Amino acid sequence: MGMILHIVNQSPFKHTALTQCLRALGQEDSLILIEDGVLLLANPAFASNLPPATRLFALQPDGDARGISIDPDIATAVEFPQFVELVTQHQKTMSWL
Amino acid sequence: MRSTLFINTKGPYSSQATRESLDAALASAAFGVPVGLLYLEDGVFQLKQGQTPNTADLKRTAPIFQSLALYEISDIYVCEEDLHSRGLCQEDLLIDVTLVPTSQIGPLLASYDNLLSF
Amino acid sequence: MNTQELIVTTSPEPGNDPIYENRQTTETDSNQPMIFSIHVITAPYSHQSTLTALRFCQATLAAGHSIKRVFFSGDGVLVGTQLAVPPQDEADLYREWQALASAHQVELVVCISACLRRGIINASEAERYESPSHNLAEGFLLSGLGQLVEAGLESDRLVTFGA
Repeated sequence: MGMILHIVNQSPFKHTALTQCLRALGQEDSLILIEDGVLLLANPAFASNLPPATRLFALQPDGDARGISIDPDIATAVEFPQFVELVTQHQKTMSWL
Repeated sequence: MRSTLFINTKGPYSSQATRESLDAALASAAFGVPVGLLYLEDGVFQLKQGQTPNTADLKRTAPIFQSLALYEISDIYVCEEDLHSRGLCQEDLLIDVTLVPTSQIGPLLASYDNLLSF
Repeated sequence: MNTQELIVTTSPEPGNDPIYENRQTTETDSNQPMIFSIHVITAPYSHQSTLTALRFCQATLAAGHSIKRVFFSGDGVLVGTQLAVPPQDEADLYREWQALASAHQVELVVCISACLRRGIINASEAERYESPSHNLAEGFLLSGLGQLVEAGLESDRLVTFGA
């Protein structure tokens, strides 16, 4: 079981939530990008120290809504059922507001 | 008893976040929940001394911070880098806090059962 | 898709910092049905989070888990009005939350202090404050932050949606 599922729903281009999250992200933690958080995937190089795609997830419907494609080498696309599954597979969640 | 860490990232007064977080922390303490408060980013300004919100028709939150000790809430953490990068130091704060380096934020989050962000 | 295999787990390293060693977090079995509680802090239609929270709750219940409580605080309480009429070609968040609550016995609690500030009141509060009307929708309960605390204590997972 993973430790913390971090949830980022803000654009990295105007908000520090992603930066804050990445500096606290532990080796057993995962990160899911939802809502405006998926905008990162338009230019993933904007962020340094992203976790590997095995621990970085993005909510597909939010990517689709914004016309952002999710590169499987960068992040794993998930639907809501897998989002729920990820929550159960981590001891707790941390929403970066 | 599941412990709870309250994470505060917003500056004071532009929203009700300061008050709601403190109210929830005090309610938790009343239930006997082990409580911690963490201040990151602009959240560190919530703790700044010398606030006179009354002049802007806003309600003071300092008395709530000062009442934390009465509820035996003493695990109050402030991100050291965020404090310093905003031109503040420990002496500028209303109450005694534990400064936490960035590298220890992750382990701190991991050490609580529930994480509540405001 | 099973995301279990996607997560790289490394063995825990206890005691990497002595300050935090004394607090032991609880571990639960991710294969068993779990009890969730949800905290929503943004207003419907002002921010996508209320919709995300709703879709998350629907997926949680569909997966066989239960939701003890959804606690709305701050602007989140605005979801409790019975007077809103969203356009017919948009998701009706108000009715969808109510339907979720009645179909699955999910408690929808709106924070009373946030409600009073924003004009969401039930009949008894309307009487207490001599208000000309009340507007709390069926299925929502007015209560205090203690309900959020209790939800955190009695649930396996607590997830916050907001901004």
